[in-house]
Amino acid sequence: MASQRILGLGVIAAILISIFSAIYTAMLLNEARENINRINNNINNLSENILRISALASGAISSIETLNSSIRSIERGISSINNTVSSLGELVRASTEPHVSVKYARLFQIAYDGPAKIVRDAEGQKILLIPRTLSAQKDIVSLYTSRYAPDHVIYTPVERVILMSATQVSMILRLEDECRVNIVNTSILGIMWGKQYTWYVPKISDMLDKGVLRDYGPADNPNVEMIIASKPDLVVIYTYAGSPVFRTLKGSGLPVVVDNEYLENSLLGRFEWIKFLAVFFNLDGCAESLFARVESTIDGLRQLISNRAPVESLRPVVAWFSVFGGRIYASSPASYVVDAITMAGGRYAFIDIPYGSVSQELVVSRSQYIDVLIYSTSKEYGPKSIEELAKALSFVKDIKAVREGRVYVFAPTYWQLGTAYPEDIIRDLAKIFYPDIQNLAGWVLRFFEKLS
Amino acid sequence: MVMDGERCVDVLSLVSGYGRRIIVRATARFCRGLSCILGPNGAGKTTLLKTLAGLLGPLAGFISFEGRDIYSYSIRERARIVAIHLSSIPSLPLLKVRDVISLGRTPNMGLTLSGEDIRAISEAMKMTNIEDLSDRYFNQLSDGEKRRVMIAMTIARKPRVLILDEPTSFLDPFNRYYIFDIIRRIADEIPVIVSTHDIDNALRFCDKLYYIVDGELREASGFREIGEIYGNMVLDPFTLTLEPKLCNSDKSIHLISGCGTGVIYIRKYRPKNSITAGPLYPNDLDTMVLNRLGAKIITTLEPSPVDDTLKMIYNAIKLVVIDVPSYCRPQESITVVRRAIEMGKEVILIDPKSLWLDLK
Amino acid sequence: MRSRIPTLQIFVTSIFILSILFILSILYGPVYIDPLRILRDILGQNSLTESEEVIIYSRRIPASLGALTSGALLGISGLLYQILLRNPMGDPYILGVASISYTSLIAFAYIAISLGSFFYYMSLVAPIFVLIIALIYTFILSIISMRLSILQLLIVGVSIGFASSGASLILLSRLPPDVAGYLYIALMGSFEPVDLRAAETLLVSLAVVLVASLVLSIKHLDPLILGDDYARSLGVNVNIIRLLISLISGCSAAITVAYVGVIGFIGFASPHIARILTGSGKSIIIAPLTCIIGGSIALLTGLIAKTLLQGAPLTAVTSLFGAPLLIYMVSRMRGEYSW
Repeated sequence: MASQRILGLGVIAAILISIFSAIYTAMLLNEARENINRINNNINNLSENILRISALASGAISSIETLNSSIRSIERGISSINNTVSSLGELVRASTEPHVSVKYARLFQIAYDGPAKIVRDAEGQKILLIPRTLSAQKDIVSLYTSRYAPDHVIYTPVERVILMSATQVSMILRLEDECRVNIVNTSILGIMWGKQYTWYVPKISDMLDKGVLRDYGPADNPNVEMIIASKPDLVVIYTYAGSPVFRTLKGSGLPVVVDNEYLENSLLGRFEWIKFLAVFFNLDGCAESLFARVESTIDGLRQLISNRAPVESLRPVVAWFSVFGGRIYASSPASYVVDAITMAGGRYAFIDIPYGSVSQELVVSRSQYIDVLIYSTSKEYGPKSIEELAKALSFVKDIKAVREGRVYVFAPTYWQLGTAYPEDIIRDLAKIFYPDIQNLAGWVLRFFEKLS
Repeated sequence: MVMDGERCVDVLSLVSGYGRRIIVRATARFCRGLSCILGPNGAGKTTLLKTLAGLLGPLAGFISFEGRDIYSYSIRERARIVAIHLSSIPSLPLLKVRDVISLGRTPNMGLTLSGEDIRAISEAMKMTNIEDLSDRYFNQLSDGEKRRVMIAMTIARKPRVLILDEPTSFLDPFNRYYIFDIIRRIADEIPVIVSTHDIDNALRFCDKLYYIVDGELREASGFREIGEIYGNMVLDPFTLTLEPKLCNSDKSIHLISGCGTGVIYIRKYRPKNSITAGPLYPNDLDTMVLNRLGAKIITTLEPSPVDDTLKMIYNAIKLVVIDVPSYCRPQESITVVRRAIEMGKEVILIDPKSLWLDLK
Repeated sequence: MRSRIPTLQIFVTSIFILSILFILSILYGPVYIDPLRILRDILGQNSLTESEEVIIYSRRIPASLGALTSGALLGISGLLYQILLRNPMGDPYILGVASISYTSLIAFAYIAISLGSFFYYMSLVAPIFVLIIALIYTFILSIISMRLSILQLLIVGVSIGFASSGASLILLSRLPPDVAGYLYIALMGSFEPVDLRAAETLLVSLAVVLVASLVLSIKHLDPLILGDDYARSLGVNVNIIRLLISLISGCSAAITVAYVGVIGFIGFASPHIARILTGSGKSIIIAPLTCIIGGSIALLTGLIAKTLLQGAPLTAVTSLFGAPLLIYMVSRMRGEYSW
């Protein structure tokens, strides 16, 4: 049929036409897209160029600024060169100072970095010590400050010091003696005393009476305002668990450092804190040599003692306690007391008993073995005679030491000076344990008294 | 009641109070039998009783028993003579009933309970009917039981004078009657002095009635006095109740009642109007009581009851007719009702059953 | 309803437990001594060394007696205060005896320091001083108690307790730190300081107190529970009896504080335990039983403190062990034990 064939041809033609137009449209679209992309690229290039131009501009501005500051710092540099030259001498001197090394004490550390010293105290504070002559050198100071981020920056030697405990005072006094310098008169403002105890060091009690040394209130509740008003550059305190004084003083912005020598377990460890105090006064070398001397003195004594009593069994058994309200307060086996006793050639009677567990029964059961009894109070708060002791504490009267009259109490100066003279403590104890020991024939007990 | 001169409590010009404050004065003689003291709260009954019991020294005057001032006895001797029972019930932890009652023997006992003590205790328990409670803890009993235990404790003392301060407070009616019954029996032997608010039991059981008004102890000679003690009340001797006096208003209600239903109606509805009633039989309870309460009554004794009644009805705002059986009301009342209706008065009919009455 | 254990059985059992605890307290201590040798020595054979003898006869036996007597005294004191004040919370220290004793001890420390013989005075004289002050305070308070109502007496006593605690703190703060440190724990109870002389005194005191309490409990204590009015009506001279009760309980508390320090909980708990065990409130039964229970608790806690928990303050041990026991007992009683 012709019409059908024409129709069929028409359909085919239509299909072909639509295919071609589709392809053509696609090609046109593609071209359009490419054009658009090209235009986008051009726009991007344009904005990049704009950015580059502005960067160049700001770069130019900052270069100008840098130029300015460089000119300024050159000016400064010229003036500081002058200072630097003068402090070069300091630097040289400082770096040749003998350094302090910490051998026995566990609660503080001292490190050196050029002219600066970094001290870590008993509360873990980092204290940066810088010589006073370098205090004007801001960049040196900031160099160290940024390097160590200390809790306090203190300029040495310190000139306005407030102390808390009598032991700290005694260490300072020994430093004075040893290094032949005047510290108490010149640099100590006062003590947190609060009239809570009597001073057995006449020099100090005199100065306190006259007001030359100020009384800043009792140690557990000092007069903070007075301390702040005095503008100290160093406040030395001790802390104990739960003491609010540290937080109060530090929170008031004061340069507080913590000296907890009483927590050290060894006799020399306690004494070593003299080095801690010395570095604040730039007496490092002096303290180091003093300590070395005391150390060797004690070594010598120990040698003497071990010659005298080479075997355990020749060493006397020593009890060291006080009694209050029926309860026995005996030293912990890990305390400095036991260290001292052992160094002096004694054996601590309760070395196997954990702290706080010495009962009256225990003392009675060991009565016949205890050769020496040291009753750990002074006569002010303790017994004045063996008779009094035996009457008041019936359970001690059977102790061998009591029956033989080998009972000792503290001298009044024990607490205040004992920490600073450990070699004398050893001498005392050695004399107590071995009365006949040769080299100590003329030695008079300094920190202990025999009960009659 | 035998007036035994020797065994009476003589109160002579007693002035009782605290420190400077005088609370009550009294002069009386309490002999064997039950003497009841009535009076509103705060009148001084407790103060007086405490003084009589020897707990509160008199400010003036004397109390003597068997010819001796009771305050001349030592505390111990006095404890054997006069016993007082107080209105408050203490808390007694971990004490059994038996223990509590034996506390009552304290004044009499030596070191331990003797046979006589034990007998007194069991008698007291029998009298108060608490024998089965003997082993229970006091604090776990009901109020009524506790009260009986405390009374038993007081009775076990076998005192020669017994004083009780409101022994029936907080008790249910059965217990109230019961307690009075017990003390009545005791009063047969010794002088018993009770203070109470329990009017009906007081009227039932007491030989003599006293009251305190304006700080004075007075003996009651008639029912009228007693009603007046308690404010504007009327003591009705027939029903043994205290009723408030009827109001006085110009608007009155007239009651057609009988057999006491009028009284009951008034109790239930407590009208604020003045009440008139009649015609009633002269021996009807309504006549006797409503009269005392202040209502105007017309009885059949009047010459012309109907006319008089109608005159009263004329002024009344309504008529309340209670449908009582014919033997409760006179014939005339029907006439009155009819005429009242003709007058146009509002008439309300009440079924006695709604008044909780069961009349045959 | 629980079936009640007969009273006689309770008494016998508790006396038995008391004896056992007393013996254990002699046989055991911080230092180990073979118990068999101790027993043999007590029975006459000489089987202990010299120092062991000192331990047993001069230390453990007086200390155990001290524990027994002070526990009993504390129990009685608590019981009497509970009766006097009609208050189940009564204990020996409720009216301030402990605080006054503590303050007087600290004040005495000042005196001792100023007299120059701190050690001597504090060791030998202090207990007597504290005792005298505490007794004086008790006398004054007892005489006052005759004129006051119970509530007034309670408020006065408790307030004085607070006030003197405050005073003691101030006094403490002015003492040298080492002395103050000792005084802080000085009055925390311990049976250690009891020597033979002290044990004798305590025994005599206990005997006196016990006899006095028993005499009173026959006729005069129980009526008090009915209230002042009923008591008077029953022939009890309430004022005199209150004076006597206050004296006995105060003196018992004062004596124990002077010799063994402050031991809490025993005085409060023993009467309650006695009441719960017997299910009775009658003083003539409760008073002696309270003594036995108080003594037992004291011996038991003393034993635990000296062997297992060395150095622990006695008050801590009594409370730690006693409180759960008392709570358990009360929970089993439930409704019956109402005040």
